[in-house]
Amino acid sequence: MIPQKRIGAFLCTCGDTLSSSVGVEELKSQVELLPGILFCHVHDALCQEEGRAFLKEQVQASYLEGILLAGCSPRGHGAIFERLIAQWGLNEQMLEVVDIREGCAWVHADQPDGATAKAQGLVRMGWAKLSMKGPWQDADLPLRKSALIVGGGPAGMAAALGLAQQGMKAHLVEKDNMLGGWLRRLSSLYPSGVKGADLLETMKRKMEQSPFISILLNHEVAAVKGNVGNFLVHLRARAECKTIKTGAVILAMGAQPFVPSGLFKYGEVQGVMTQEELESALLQGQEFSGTTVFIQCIGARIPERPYCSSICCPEALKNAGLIRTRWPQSKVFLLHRDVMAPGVDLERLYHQAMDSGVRFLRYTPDHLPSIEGTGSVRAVKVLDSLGGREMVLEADRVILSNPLVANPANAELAGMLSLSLDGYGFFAGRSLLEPNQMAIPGIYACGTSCWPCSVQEAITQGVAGAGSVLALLKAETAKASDFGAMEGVKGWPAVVKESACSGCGNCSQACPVKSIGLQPLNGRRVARVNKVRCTGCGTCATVCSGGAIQTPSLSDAMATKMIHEAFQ
Amino acid sequence: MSGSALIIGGGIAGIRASLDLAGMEIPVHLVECKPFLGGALLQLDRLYPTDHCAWCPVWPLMRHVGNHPLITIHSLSEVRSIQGKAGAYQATIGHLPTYIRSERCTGCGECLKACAKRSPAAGRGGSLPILKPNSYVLPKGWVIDRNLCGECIGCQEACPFKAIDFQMIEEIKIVEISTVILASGFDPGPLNRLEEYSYGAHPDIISAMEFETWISEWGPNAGQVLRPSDGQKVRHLAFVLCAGSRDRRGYDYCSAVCCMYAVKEALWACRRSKDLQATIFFTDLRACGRDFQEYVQSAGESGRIQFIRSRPGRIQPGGERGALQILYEDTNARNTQEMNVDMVVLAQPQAPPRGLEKSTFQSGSFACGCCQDPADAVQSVISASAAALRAAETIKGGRVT
Repeated sequence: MIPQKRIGAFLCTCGDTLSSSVGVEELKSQVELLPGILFCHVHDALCQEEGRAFLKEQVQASYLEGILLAGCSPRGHGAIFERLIAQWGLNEQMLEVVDIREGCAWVHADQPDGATAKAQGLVRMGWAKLSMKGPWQDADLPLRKSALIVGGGPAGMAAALGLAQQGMKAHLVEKDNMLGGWLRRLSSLYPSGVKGADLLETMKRKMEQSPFISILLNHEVAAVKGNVGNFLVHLRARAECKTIKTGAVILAMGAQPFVPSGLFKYGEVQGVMTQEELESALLQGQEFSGTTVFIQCIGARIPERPYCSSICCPEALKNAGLIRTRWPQSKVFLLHRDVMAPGVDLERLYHQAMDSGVRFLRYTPDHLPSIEGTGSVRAVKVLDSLGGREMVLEADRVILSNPLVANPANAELAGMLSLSLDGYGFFAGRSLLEPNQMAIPGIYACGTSCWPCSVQEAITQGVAGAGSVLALLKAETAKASDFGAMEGVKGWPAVVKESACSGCGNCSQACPVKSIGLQPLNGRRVARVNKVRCTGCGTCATVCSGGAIQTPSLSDAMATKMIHEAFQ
Repeated sequence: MSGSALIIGGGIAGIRASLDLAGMEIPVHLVECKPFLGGALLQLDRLYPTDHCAWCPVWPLMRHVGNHPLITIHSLSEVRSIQGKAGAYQATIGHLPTYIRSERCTGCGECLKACAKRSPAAGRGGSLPILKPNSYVLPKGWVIDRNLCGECIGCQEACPFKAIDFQMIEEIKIVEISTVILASGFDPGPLNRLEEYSYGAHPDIISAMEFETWISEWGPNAGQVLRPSDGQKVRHLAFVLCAGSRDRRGYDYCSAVCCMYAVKEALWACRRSKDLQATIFFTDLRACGRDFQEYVQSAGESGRIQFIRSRPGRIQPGGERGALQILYEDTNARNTQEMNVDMVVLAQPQAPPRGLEKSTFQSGSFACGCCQDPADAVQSVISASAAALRAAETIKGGRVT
């Protein structure tokens, strides 16, 4: 038998507007009969100042342990009442708000008898739940003031600088022997026109000057343990292995170019190169007079890889314009399916390329351009979809615009962190509007680890990631409940009754946020819940055959009793 | 130096920036000119490419804004001026009157029942003078729109709590701030400049933003796709992309989001109306984000959405049974064609918000979201988080840029 709590019931009639459909007096007399209910007061507006004062007076005078409040939907004033009762020294979970207005009186305005009966049922259900609730014990969570960033490209460096500027320690792990990533390989960046090497120098200098950044070159992540605020990251290196304690992790491993082996005579004839090869040729000062033909969507927007890599069009526009401007005698053709130049800056880049004399021809996927020539490129044959004619463009070289594909490191890290990837191997945010925040709290992904993007966008994402980490770790400690599935909505972590746990591991498999592990106890295995990771969703409870794991905010016993009361 | 931030605009970018700054323990004044937070997302039907309801991902964030002790929401408010020197500004915020005392209002709805303008004759779109916040939005206060109000004072007499007060006037608040984030969103670009598209001259030619509400379940037609002129079911619907964008007469840039929202609107119109066919006239179909190409493909594979690469030259009334005639060049057949449709949706540009060009841009201020560059909701939250950190740097780093 559960010991009875001192519960006070309050019926709020919202300025007497409920009484036309719900029989308030009848409801009051019913509620007063429920076990554990000390009294039931009717008030016309508990949310008003006088109403709140009345509530406070009653709660304190009767030493209430639980408050049953029937009135408007908890979405309206629920949070306000929770805060108030916490101020009065009660556990905020010991308030149960029952909606008898929106979900009852209003929708059944024409059926007063039914509405009254429903209100009685709803209130009894609320009482059943409240009487079985225990006060919520939140776990304190110390937050370590540092972040570990995986990847020393533009996104990773921007994140490190953003953190360091605010005085937060940043450990930057790079598997290569130098920083820079794509910045080392790009001649100039769109849309700014800045040289990749110049930007890299500026960022590197700032990083080396900062006392808050430690750079670990030639290191790779071997394993990650722990949870938000306290991750343990094991690093692997040729010489020595290291373990770093950190509060958050930012993934910025970048992406890789797709290698178009066997496509468009790449690797077969001379003069066929990819965009990155063009970038390095431009960096080395190679000359591009004569005729250059760019072909877009090489290995992208095809059935095997349906996505648009979004950076190839702007990059080709930049390079095509650059070749025309630098070598005015040259001819440049750009063969595309759609010119992807969204926004203000990229459309301007498109205009600049057109104005510089680049000629644009559209092809369709059912008539792909072909490369003529043996040994070296002689010409490109293309069916111009706008003109309807087949054209033979004599060419000295062909640039294949190839997409970015996911870095294999994504899968490795995702495995270590129990994160899932999208269908192409990129990291996806935990929700549409949290694109850089991963499903596990404290883990962020930025730049081309998430999706192909420009250097400028990668830097913005790195800064944004740093901002999110700072907002997360600024406070001294957090509460475990701050990391529920929905921000601001508290979920009680699941509780395991160890004596009933068979150690089957069903819960551990079912948990969508990987918060349950199996740990040895007296020669057998029992489930153990990471209270920080757990969002209180209750999936575990539904798969537990022995009823050993429960979410205390709504246990099987509570639900059963509520259903019983509803159909009494 | 007060160390607070002023955020102008309570859309998704302003909300994200506020949460990030408040997380960094920087007090925030969030100013929104409308009665409720949420910005453009509140007017949207769905979000591409996940087909989320547009509010669902917003309201948990909005709740967090409402609960955060460091965030002060100034709704139905305008920034009148920002004065002072770098790092130490005084912002003057005008709170427009809501005519309902929020501390007294319980949201009982008696005023709405008594309102004389509540009759169905209140007009298309059903705008009522009394605005009731739905359960998702913040702040929770009810608002009377005096422009729509007939001043019958029926509401005032009906209110059981004497919450309605027509004597309320604009309240001026002066706040000390150190940095400004501009997140005022976009203005839907004007369509009446494009004479050839007859916008405004015919009720069945509407803008994409209007169409979002028009077909939504929560809109005036409760999810049916009807022709505004006669309330008949739309059988053939056309979308014209780049209506005003990529056009040297007005906005020569690409508005970045129209391709995708047109596909989304076409898909949802088809989902809601079984025998509807849609045609999308496009220039380049710019679908570059995650799952965007697949989304466009699914529209094509539905067999009910046709894509035509062309920018129509003229849209005019004159077809059979009130149909609209679209004249366009078929770029595949290389000839001119005519198409009769029931309704036309014009994808208007994302224009910079009014007042942006003349706002006194001070040092220590940052822009994010689509007041900076055309952007969708996802890009807006990323730029908002980045702007929040940059703004925090001017305060915490002691460096004003």
